[in-house]
Amino acid sequence: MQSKLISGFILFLVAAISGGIIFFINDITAPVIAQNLIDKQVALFSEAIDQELVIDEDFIYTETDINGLTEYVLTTPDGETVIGYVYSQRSSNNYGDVDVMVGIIDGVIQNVVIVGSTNTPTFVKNIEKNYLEPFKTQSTTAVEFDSKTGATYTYTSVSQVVTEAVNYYNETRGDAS
Amino acid sequence: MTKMENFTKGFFKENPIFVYLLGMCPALAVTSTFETALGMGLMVIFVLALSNFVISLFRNVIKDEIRTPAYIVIIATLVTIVDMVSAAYVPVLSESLGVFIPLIVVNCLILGRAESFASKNNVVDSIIDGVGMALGFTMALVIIGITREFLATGGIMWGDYLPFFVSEPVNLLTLDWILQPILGSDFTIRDNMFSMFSMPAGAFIGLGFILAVIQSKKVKKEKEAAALMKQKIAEAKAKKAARLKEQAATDALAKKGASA
Repeated sequence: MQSKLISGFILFLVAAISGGIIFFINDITAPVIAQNLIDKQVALFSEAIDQELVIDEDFIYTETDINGLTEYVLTTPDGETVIGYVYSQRSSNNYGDVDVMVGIIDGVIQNVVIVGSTNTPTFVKNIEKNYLEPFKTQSTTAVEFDSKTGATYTYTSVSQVVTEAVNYYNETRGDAS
Repeated sequence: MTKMENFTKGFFKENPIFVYLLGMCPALAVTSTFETALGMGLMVIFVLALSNFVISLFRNVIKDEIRTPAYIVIIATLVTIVDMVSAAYVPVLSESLGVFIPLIVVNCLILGRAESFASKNNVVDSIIDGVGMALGFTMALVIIGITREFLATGGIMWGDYLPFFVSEPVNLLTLDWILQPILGSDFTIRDNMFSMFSMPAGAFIGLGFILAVIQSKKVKKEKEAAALMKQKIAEAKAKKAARLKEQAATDALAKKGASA
């Protein structure tokens, strides 16, 4: 009985010391990790609207979720002027998920970015290299999609997100542009 | 075993990947590039060295019946530290390695060394064993990573995942340096290499090829050693036969002399 108690106490001690160390390390790294996430988000916004941005200096943003489509409204730091809109959504296909961001300023698509994907990497690279550029400078009221890409599933997912983004923009923000 | 033998055994004689075939999961999953392979290796060095140190330090305190959960908690704590620190200071590498960082906890190499060495040896030897085996593991990962990245892209990059010493990603080596002056600046070797090697199928093929080369050398050495041993045995037998013949001749002469 006594040996079991001693074993239990030793295990408790190991767990307590481990927990304490993890708590201490988390205290140091949590703010850095949070800042990394913000920096990553800002970099994605910059890529989506094709402009270099610094948060709190150049812009602030508000986030709204609309049935799976997330809208980010980028405004000047005083909140008075809208800089642009970024739409983000995950689209699923037979090969996995594709996370896409679409940047729109004044009714014109600035850029389409594949943020992440579990589709076959070669196909995703092909889409990124050859089939996202044509979206740039297209009007949201008349978007043209490529009919032959050789990577149908991935491109279809990208097209789905672009369609949802421009439809929502035209319905709710189109008059403001 | 000397300290030097203890340190170097993990490189060739007892290499975790090429000899023991431990840690196959990261060996296949994170070796699509040299940088991710090196990053994983550095994390394993930290975890294995420290886990061996702690387990050896408390080997007389942690009783046999609770050693497995105690070792797992110690290893998991170290892996959690690595996970948090990498997410904070090398976020791109952390994102690229993804779930394979937490999976270091269940890497057979780490628990295996804890059970077979650290729990039975002193602290200094255990640290040397941990560092040596982890360096051998890293060396193997880097060999696979360099092979796969070179076959997939025709070059080796630095700075994509480990942004140290450079302000932006650079080519450490690329066949474009040789081929572009000949074929023109429009030519890019990356478009003409075997992109399959950056994918899972290529991982199996690449690792299989490297293991085949290593095993063929090993088999050749063993055959040579066997042939040498056979020759030595034959020589010894011949010597013995000659000695017996001489002895018999001497005995015959002695008998003749006695009868005369």
